[in-house]
This record gives sequence, C-alpha cells and structure tokens, in this order.
Amino acid sequence: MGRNLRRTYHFSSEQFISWAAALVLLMCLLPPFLMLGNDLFAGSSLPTALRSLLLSADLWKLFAWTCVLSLLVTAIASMQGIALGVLFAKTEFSGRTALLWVHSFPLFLPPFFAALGWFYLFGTQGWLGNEQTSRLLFGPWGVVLVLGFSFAPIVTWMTVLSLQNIDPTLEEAARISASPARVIVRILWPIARPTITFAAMLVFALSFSELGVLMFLRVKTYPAVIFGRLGGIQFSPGEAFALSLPLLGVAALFLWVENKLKPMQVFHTMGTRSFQTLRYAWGRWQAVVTVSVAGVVSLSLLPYAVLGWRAGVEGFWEIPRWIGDSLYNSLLIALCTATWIGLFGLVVGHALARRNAFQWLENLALFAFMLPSAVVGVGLILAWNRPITGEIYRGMGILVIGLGARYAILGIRAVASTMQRTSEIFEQTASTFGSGYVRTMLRIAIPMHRPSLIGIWLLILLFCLRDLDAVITYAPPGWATLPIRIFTLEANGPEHIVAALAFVHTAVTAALFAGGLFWLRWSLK
Amino acid sequence: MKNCAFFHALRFAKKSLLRGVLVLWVGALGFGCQGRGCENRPEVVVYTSVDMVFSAPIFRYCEQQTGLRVKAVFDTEETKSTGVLNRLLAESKTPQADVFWSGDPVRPFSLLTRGMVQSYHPKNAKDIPEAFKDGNGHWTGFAARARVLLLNTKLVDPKQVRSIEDLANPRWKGRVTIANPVYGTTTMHMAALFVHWGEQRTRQFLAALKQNDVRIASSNGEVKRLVVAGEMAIGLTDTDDAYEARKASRDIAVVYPDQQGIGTLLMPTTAVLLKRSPHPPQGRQLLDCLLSRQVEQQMAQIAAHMPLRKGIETPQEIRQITDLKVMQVDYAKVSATMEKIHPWLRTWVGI
Repeated sequence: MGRNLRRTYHFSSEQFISWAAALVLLMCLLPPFLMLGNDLFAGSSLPTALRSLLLSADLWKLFAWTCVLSLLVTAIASMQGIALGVLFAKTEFSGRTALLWVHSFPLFLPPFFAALGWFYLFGTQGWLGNEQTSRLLFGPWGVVLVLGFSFAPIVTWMTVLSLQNIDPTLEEAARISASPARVIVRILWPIARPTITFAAMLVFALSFSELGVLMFLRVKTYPAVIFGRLGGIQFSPGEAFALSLPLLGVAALFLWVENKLKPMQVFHTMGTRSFQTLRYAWGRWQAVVTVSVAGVVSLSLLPYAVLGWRAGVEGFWEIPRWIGDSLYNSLLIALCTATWIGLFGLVVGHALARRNAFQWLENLALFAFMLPSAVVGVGLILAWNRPITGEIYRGMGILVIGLGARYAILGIRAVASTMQRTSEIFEQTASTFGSGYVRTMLRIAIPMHRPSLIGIWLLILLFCLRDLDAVITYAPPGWATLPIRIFTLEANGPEHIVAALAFVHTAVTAALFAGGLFWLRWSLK
Repeated sequence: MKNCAFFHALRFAKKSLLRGVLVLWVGALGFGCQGRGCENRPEVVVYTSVDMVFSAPIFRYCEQQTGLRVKAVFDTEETKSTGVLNRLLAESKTPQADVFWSGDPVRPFSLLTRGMVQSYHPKNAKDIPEAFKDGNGHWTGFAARARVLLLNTKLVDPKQVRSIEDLANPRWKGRVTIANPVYGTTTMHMAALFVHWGEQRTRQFLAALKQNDVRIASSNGEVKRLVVAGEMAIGLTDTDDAYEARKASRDIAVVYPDQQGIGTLLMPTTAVLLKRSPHPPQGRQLLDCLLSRQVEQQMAQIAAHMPLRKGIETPQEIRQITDLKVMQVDYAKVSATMEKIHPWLRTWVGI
C-alpha cells in the first residue's frame, strides 16, 4: 500500500515540476538561444564580434573598470549593511523594528530615482549644489554612493537573517567567558560570513547590470556598451550577445563561490534548537545609537523626499496629464508577474529543497538574471513577435514573461531556502496517508510557510514594480510602466513633472510596502 | 469530486494568502477598466524618436481630432532616433507599428532600403516644399530642427565662433562638448559632413576635435546642461535644446553655424507609413493629422521646431528656414554614409 501511495505522490509532483521546469526553460533559455540562432542564420556577426572582443583592449579595460565600480558599490553597501545589520539583529534600541523596515524601503525603488533626487539637491542648479558637487555626482563616486545606499538594505537584511538564524545556545556558551565584541568577532561573524558574502555578491551582480543610474549620471560601463550595440545605427544582436559572454564568466564565478559558501545553510547543534534571539543592551548609549541609526536611514530616504519638494504644487497638478496608464500598467504587470513567479517558484523551489535536484534549473535562472537586459529584450522580441504569439507580444504577456525570466531566480531561491529550513516529515506523512502532490502542497507545505511565501510574493512584486532595465527594450505600445515613462520623460521633460511622477511611484511603493507588512503581520497571528 | 485539486485550490483561496492576492488583482483590473484599457476606440501604433515631452501632446491632439487611440513607443534620450528604429528592424518579420515618426530625416531610409515602408501621400502635406518630401510618398518631412552652436557668453564671445570648424580650434581646447556621435542627430551631422566635405577632410576634422579634448556628452540634452552650467564653453546641439537653454539662462547665445560657408544642417522630423502594419487605415489617418498645419504650428510653439511651411508663426527666438543658409545634402546619401561610417565613429568614441 505504502509503495502505491508514494508512487502517486511522485508521479503527480513530477508532472508539475516538469511543467514548471519547461516554463523556466522557455522564459530563460529561449530568448538568448533564438538570438544566437537568428544571428547564425542571418550571416553571423558573432565570430567577427568575438574576435574584436578578444582583441579590443578598450573593451576589456571597460569590463575591468565596471568590475572595479561594482566592487566599490559592494564595499559601500557592505560596510553600511553589515554595521546596521549587526545593530538591528543583535542590539536593543528604541524604534529598532520600525527603523529596519524604513531602511529597507529604498531597495524597492528604482535606484535611478535616488540619482534624480540627489541631482535636484547637488546638481549645479540644485538646492545645495555647485559645480564641485555636480562634478562629484556626475562621475564614478556619484554612482558608487547612489547605488551603495540603494543596495545596502540587501546586506542589512541578509546580515539580520543570518545572525537571527544562529542557534543562541552557541552564543550563550561563549558569553559565559567572552566579551560581547569577542562573541561577535569569534562566534557570530564566522557563522554569518557565508550569507553576508552572498549578499555582497548579489549587490555586485545588481550594480554590474544597472543601467538607469549609469546612463543618468553619464558614467560609461560595460553593460551600457552592450545596450549601445542594440541602440546604435548598426543593429547588431550577434555582437551584443558576444559582448555578454564575459558576464557569463561573472555568473559562473558567482555560482562557484555560492556553492563553496552555502550561504543558506542552517547550523544545527545538539539538542533542541532555541529560537530565542539574544540582544545586547546599549544602556546609557541607547539614545546615541537610535539617533545615529535614524540619521543613516534618513540620509538614504532624503533623495526621495527631495523629489516631492522639487515637484511642488505645480508638478503634482500636472500629474494627470502625464501619467496616462503607466501606473496602472506597473501595478498590473507587477501583480501578474509576482503571482506567476510565485507559482512556478513554489514548484521548482520546493523540488530543489526536498529532492536536492534541479540545481541546473536554478543555475539557468541565475544565467538569465545575469544576462544584460537589453540582450534578453531583443531575444524576447525574436522569440515572441510571431503571428501565433502576437497576443502575448502585443500585450502585458511579454512583460510578464520578460520579468519572469529576470526574477525567476528570486522566487526559486527564496522558496527553496524557506522550505529547506523545515522538516520534510509532515509532507512524507501526508503522502503515506494517500495525499497527492497538490493536496500536500495546499494543505501542508503552503500553510506551514505562509508568512514566508507572502514575504517572497511581496518581494517579487516590489522588485517588478521598480524594474526599468528589463522592460525598456520591449515594452509594447500602450504598456509602458511608470519607471519607463519617467526615464523617457527625464531627458527633456520639465523637472517638476519628472519629480512629481517619481514621487507618485515612491508613494505607491510605500503604500504597497506598508500594506504588505500589515498583511504579513496579520498572517503571523 | 470533493477531493479533486480544483476544490482544494478553491478552499485554500478562502485563506489569507490567495485572498489577499485576489483582492489586489480584482482591484487592479477594476481600476484599469476605469481608464483607457477597456475603451473600444480604433487603435493606431506609432513609434517615435521625437522627445516624449513634445510628441505626447501632439498624439493627444490627434486623438481628439481623429477619434483614434494612439499607442506610442518613445525613445530614450541616450539611444535617440536609434532605439525605436532598431526595434522596428527587430520586429520586421511581424511589424507591430503603423507609423514611424522620426526626429530626423535619415533614419527612415534604413527602413526604406529594407522595403519596410509603404507609399502614402498625406492629404495635408500638399503645402510642404518638395525638397522635404519624397515624390513617391515614402516619407514626408515637417517641423524641422537645425544643428546649432550653443555658447556660454560668460566664457566665450559669440563673435569668435562662427563655424563648425571652430570647434577644432586649439583656442577652445578642453572647452567644447558634442553628444556621442554613435547616437542621435550627431551621427547624422557627422555623416552629412562626410558627404559634404568628403571622407579625408571630415576624418581630419574629427581627429583635430579629439586632439582638442572634446568632451563627449551622452546626449544633446547633456550638452545643453554642460554649457548652461558653465562646465563647457561651446556645445554642438539641436535648436530645441538651444531654445530650452536660452530659457534656462541669460548667458547663452545660439549661433547658426557656417552661414558664410556650407550652411547650417537642417533636420525635418519625418513621418512614414510602415508596410504590413497592423492598422493601415488608422496609420494613414494619423499621418494626415501629423502632417497638418496645426501640428506644425504646435511643434513650433511647444517644441521650438522650425516650420517648413510658409506663414506659420514661431516664437521670437526661432528662425524661419527662409532666413537661413541651409546645408545642401541628399538625405538618402547621408543615411547610406551613416551606416558606412558607424563602426569608425564607434572607434573614434572609443567603444
């Protein structure tokens, strides 16, 4: 009897996993594959492009320069993120939770908005600006600071999660004889280091692929050159694809380091694990710490407040004339994509966690995440602009597919690491008693992880809402999102209107963020 | 039946996770139907490299005039004139656009040579001079810009700069800026020089420009910012940016170059009807609207574009084309040259 029931469970699950895997393949592999195929059939420019890439010292210099720039962004984000992460996770001070959430907020906004806000403040004609501040902003240091502050919450959160995940019994044992500083350096840091390194690599990958801020602050980087190959007068997808190959090297390095570090590993100790979190009190220094943390958090929010100030009454008054359908498009696309990624992420992530299989699928999703969005964009046009798929290409479908390809890794990885943290025993018991795959998922796996799944869904939703680079190449007519509209209008549009639209996007994200947190809290009760 | 997956899914939907998602979905769809998403007007799709801030009001005007719903794809400043063009090329097997409204007169030739353009003589284009439209109806120009020199009068005396060749004068070393010639109207300008001066002279000029430490800005808009801010003394840009610069600062002078020499390069915006487009009748309707006198008047007022027709009022600072010595160029030849010199221009820029 047991054998039969078990077979039913696996047969059913395999069907689902196969479908989900096919979807991931279709989304992530088809566009670059078709782009390559199209180039080979149309008198390939690939060999010439590869030769010129290998021989071009300028391109390699630019590649190295982009790596240096991304490393600097990573350093700034890590310094800020680790310090705040340790404070939030391991110490007690007033307003700690609220400040942590507020600090996270800029992560869910296009970094280009922060650049815009700083420009209104420190540009030549800005509130506090002069030629020197403008020169600093419109250069590598401006990029490093803008992106460093925007991506710091990733490191903060990963630090908080890794520190909170450590079994406090280890820490308690150390505290018997060691000072708090020694406990952090000798016990907590070595355990948390893999996760924090992973966060740093994520920041590196995001800053390496960033386009909006780099274009706005006029700093030339390698992905901008690839974008240029698709935007110049000579439309050369094959060449752009060849130029993206070094990025695959970065992705491979990313995977190698991650496999070495195993960032999401849970450290088990003898006996029952305690989930209590130990925090150090600041005593009479508490007020100083609160003010300092609030200061750093406020600094990262300042450019967004400046947007509101720059917009003024006039800017907000003009919003209905310029916003069009873009806000609605942004929300609907983000909702659909988050749900879409959530669904296949659930199936693939669960399979990854429970069977330790389908690692290749995760690697493929990472490959799609690392590919320059302009390359993916042209691949999507070649793949989906056909009479048979016209309805998808002309509507929101293509955006859901494109964003799905870019952020699939978020859904898969987050679900897998969530599920890895709980035992499989409940699901096995259910299957032993005849429960099928769908029933086991709906009645056991999902309810057990409901708060985390809501969090993952919300995370993807907010990431899709902020996206600019992934969709700008192929957004169908009438489906431009709000970040696209703002970026398009920014070039010669009146500043107050651009600022007002960016502020509206910020406010909507804040409302969704707050609503999501409220929902999360409610689901935890 | 009760045990099937569908009923489990429905039952689960009653719980918080899906209920929340569903509420948001229904809300979003309902909100969308309040807007334009559920309207039943005939549609027309237009791709444009004319700045959104100028073209969007024109599309709104045409919507009112024709009853069409205009769905537009705009270019970004950095890939100006070429982003949507390349999208048109990528989509050539199954075209999605009905009309391409180009910010310059040469990009449409890339489509024309690939057989992607349909012939149409817009009803309202009869009073546009013959030099600015194709006899076979493949393209029609209107509302033009010119390539001008933008000077910061705090840093340079306008009398000292009269020609495009002055940009290579060592006197202005490190104080001149032009937009990246790989994109936008600067590519066209360089190609026009190649056609007019010949290859050798233009290459020499560009080499001298490089030796003069010319600053390559990302766009014409950035050229405007740099000169207005006083970071650069002289910039090469378009009349619409120059007009904005004049509004932003009193210390800005605009010079129409080479009035005693080869003349100033004039670039009418150009509209074409695309072959195998999804909505050809609506495309023709939109072209008729774009080529109307009223639109050219609006482009002069809001976008500082020079009208090609006679008798259209312009803001005081916008010159009429009849007052200008215009560079005589064959746009088809410029387009072909542009494709030829593009790899060399990329090397010149260093990418």
